[in-house]
Amino acid sequence: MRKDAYEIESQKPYFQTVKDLLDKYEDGWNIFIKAHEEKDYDIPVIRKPEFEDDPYLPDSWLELADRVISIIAHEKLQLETNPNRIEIVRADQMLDAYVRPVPDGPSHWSYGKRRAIEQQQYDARKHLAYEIIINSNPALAYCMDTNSPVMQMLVFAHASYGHNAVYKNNFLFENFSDPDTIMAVNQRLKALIDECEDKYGVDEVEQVLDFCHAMRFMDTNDKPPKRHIGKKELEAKKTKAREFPYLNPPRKSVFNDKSEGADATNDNADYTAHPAQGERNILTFIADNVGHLPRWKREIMHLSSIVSQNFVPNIRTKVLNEGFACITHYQVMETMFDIGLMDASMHGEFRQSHAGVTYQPPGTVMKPNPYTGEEEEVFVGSDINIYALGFAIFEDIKRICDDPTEEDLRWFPHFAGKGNWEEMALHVMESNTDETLVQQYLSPTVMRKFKYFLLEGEPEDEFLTVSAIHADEGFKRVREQLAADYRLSDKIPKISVRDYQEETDRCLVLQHDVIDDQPLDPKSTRQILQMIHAQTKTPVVIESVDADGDVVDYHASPPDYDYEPHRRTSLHYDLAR
Amino acid sequence: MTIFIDRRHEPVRHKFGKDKARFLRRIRDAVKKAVQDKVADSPLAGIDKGGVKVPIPRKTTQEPVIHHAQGPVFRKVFPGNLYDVGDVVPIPPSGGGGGKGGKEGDPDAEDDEDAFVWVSEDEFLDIFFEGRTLPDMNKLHASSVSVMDRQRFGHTTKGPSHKMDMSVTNQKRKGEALVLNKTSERRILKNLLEQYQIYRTYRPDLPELDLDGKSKTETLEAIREVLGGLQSQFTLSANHAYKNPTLTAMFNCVEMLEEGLAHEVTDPEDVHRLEVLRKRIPEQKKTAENAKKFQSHHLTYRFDKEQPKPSAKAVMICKMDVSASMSQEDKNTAKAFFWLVSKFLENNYDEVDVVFISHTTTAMEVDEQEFFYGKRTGGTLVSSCLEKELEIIKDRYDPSEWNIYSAQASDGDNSYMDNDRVEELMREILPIQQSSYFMEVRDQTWEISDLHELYQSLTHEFPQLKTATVNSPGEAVEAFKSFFPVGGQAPAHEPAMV
Repeated sequence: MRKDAYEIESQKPYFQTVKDLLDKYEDGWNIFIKAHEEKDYDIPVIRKPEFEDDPYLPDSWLELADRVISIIAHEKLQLETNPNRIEIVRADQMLDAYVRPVPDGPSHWSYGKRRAIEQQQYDARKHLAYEIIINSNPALAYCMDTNSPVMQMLVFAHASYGHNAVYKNNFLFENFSDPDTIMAVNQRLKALIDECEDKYGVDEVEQVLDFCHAMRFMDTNDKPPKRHIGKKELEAKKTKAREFPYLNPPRKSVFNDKSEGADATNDNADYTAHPAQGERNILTFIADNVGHLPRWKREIMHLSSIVSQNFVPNIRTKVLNEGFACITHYQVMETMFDIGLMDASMHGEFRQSHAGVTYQPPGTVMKPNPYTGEEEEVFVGSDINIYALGFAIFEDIKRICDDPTEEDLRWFPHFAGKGNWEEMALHVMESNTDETLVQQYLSPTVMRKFKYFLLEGEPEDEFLTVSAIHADEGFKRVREQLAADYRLSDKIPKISVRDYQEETDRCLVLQHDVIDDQPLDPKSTRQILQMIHAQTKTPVVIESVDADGDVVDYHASPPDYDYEPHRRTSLHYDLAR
Repeated sequence: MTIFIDRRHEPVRHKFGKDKARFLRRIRDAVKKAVQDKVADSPLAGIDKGGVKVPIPRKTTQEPVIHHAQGPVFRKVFPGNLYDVGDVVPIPPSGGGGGKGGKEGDPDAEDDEDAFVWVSEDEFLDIFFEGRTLPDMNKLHASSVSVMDRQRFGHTTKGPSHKMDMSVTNQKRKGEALVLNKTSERRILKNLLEQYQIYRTYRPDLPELDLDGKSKTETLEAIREVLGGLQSQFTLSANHAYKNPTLTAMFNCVEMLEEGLAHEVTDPEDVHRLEVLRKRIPEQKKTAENAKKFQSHHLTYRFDKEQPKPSAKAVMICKMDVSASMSQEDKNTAKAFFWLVSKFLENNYDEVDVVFISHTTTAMEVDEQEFFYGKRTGGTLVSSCLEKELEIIKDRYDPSEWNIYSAQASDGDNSYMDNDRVEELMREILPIQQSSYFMEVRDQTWEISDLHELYQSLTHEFPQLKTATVNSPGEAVEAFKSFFPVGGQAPAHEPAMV
């Protein structure tokens, strides 16, 4: 307990709520310290006789800890969360939870494989995550039974309040995920697959599931679900289409096919864009449009796409999610220490765990020089710890709000020194992705703390060049690149539907937008095209298109498919884009 | 409000059993190979200890995912700077070569070389024996009951919730609802009629309403007639709407009379009676409504009763020559074969007995330990062993009840004088056996022994006898495969040779 902090905290309204709750227990104020001393979070909690019958009071230490943390998180930090469901699990149950994105899903061999590998790693290292949280309603958190009492409190604050608040409030999660239905959809998928396995055989269903798994990163939308288009807007669109016909050229069909005669020479003039051009959710496109697919296969594809869609925000908000969860658990635990619910020993343990989580390994190690034999620092290039980066950004937002330097006033004039950091942190959490978080809120202080620098070069070279460092002039470049490192489209190829030649051979043409001249990996691309071909029974082509609209590369299945990628590179093509 | 679930004390459920089974199915070739290697390599005692470690093959377990190959430019932010702009550093070992984003989800990046999965004995045997069938099996007998099976046995009114039979429960409720609904309607009608009669004593000009002996339609017509007459005199403020039109009309009648004539009813007895009748109606309605709900006596559960299951029993008789000429390596080979056959029988039969007979010039029944490790000296008389076998079968295993299998391992040595006796005994034993396997443990390049030759000559007459020459545990596995081919029995007239 810090005396002056206690004086301030005890004046705040949440303190009274905590006090009211703990006063209903025998020795309530020391209950957490007692659990820490006995190293047991199952110690009995005894109510005072007059509160024996209150059905709303927690009965176990875990529930009581969760209640106190929820009061601090909701009333002091002003978090809004979904209800929680916390399961205390053993190592084997945790391993089970590791393997699947959502519990109780359909069976698939890949889960068996992953489980075997996880088990092997666990046997070798005996280390598992402290918690896992799934974005459903109620938010499902798995906590390890081996966590110490302090760790268990930290984990509740981190997952069930920190992550949960992001799930509830961040705009990406609001638009792209549906925690209310994810479990039901998953169960529906499982039931459907069980039924289909009975009807059509395990092998047949396994092929469809393999296909759905292979379509990872191609089975989700990058835009929020389509909103309803009003009558006025529809009219406006129609008018526009009349006035600017090249924006919406007529579909090519047998009736207006001018390929015979004089026009046959100018093939491009007849090209019309497919209405689904630009569709990113290729799995659903296949399920909806490709002929010769039985209904059950379409249904499985649809459902597995919906499940995948729920995890898009998680991939795009890793730093933000972990950073906000870290700052939440840090604030909650510090508050509990300040108001005397934790003693110095518990505080020490908490700080140690926290430091372990937010540790950024140095980029260099000490190695003896092979020539001189002297110890010297050698650059090994460790990866960025997203916990450390996220926590540092939020911690720095707090510092800039409360106690800005002159530099901060220059960089962040809109919130430096304005105080009320909780509100600012919530605002940042609600309206950012990893990319924009780094872009807008990575301060020079954080950059100097981690000594970020930018390496550039060609992979064929033996050496890389340092092109910018954490100094004033290099700051923007480094920040730009760090943001780009978290840009999803740079990591995952951007694939969309280009065309589906329904009138001819039903060839499905996909388009890959090339960024930074990165080609597709030929081996896996070929495998995936083969899998699509096996399902749709029609040829599939994937074109790599650069920023100018020129096709720079293409893969096709079957490999000898007679396809002319360049036939549409024309003025018309560009307009249609 | 947080929900807490403590799953620490849950029993270890093999939640991933199905996933693992699917996975093993996918890599079944690798599992089979691992089992074969294990049987061939492991020392005598260790075959069935623990499971098998199956390396995960990369080819069949690939999960391709779309990703970038290495781009022409490498550009990445690293922490922990020691340099200034323009300095050059060597490419770091991790992350440098891979390019951006290439590592994530790359099937090749996953280190499959050291990845393996532990497969327990049951799991690998299922895969190993998949599709292999036993020749001439199944003398089913329910007489000596030892295996019980739970079978459907009607319904009960008490039971666990997961056994509830919703269709029967619902049927019961529907039936009861039908009856109760009718009853309550009849009662309400009777009640209303009585009210009508009371009002009629004050207004004798009201039409008479006698429903005795009238059919459904006649009743409805009569009441509607009355209602039409009343509507000219009284006004109806609220129109009742019931499912039953008769009740609707009758209710409307009484309602009108109540509004119009309530003040005229003066006799206190009548006033009281009307009050009672009116109060009774909600209760009578409730009876019908209650009938729509599930009552505890509707609940019906499926009942499973334990019943004896016809079980197939098998006995396997393992016979081995343990004279000094059989080396420990030969015994290892024999053990691999015996182990596979006994496991296969266990897989196919509910009950399997294994009998071990070791012999030199005399035969004796021994336990497993003694059978494989015991050493005795002396010559060889195969007939002694067959006599012992016959004795045991006659003693304990009635051929009409038991499926009898026998497997014999020998180095082929036998006293020259003994072969006639052996043939005589074999002709006696073979007809009562499902199958009999003979393994000669010796180098295949050698000439086959007289004993083996004798057995081969018998195979034409008794197709259930199979013979093979093996020299190593690996060959014993091959012999097993040829004895029990996938998809059925090998052609009977050809002796299965390796």
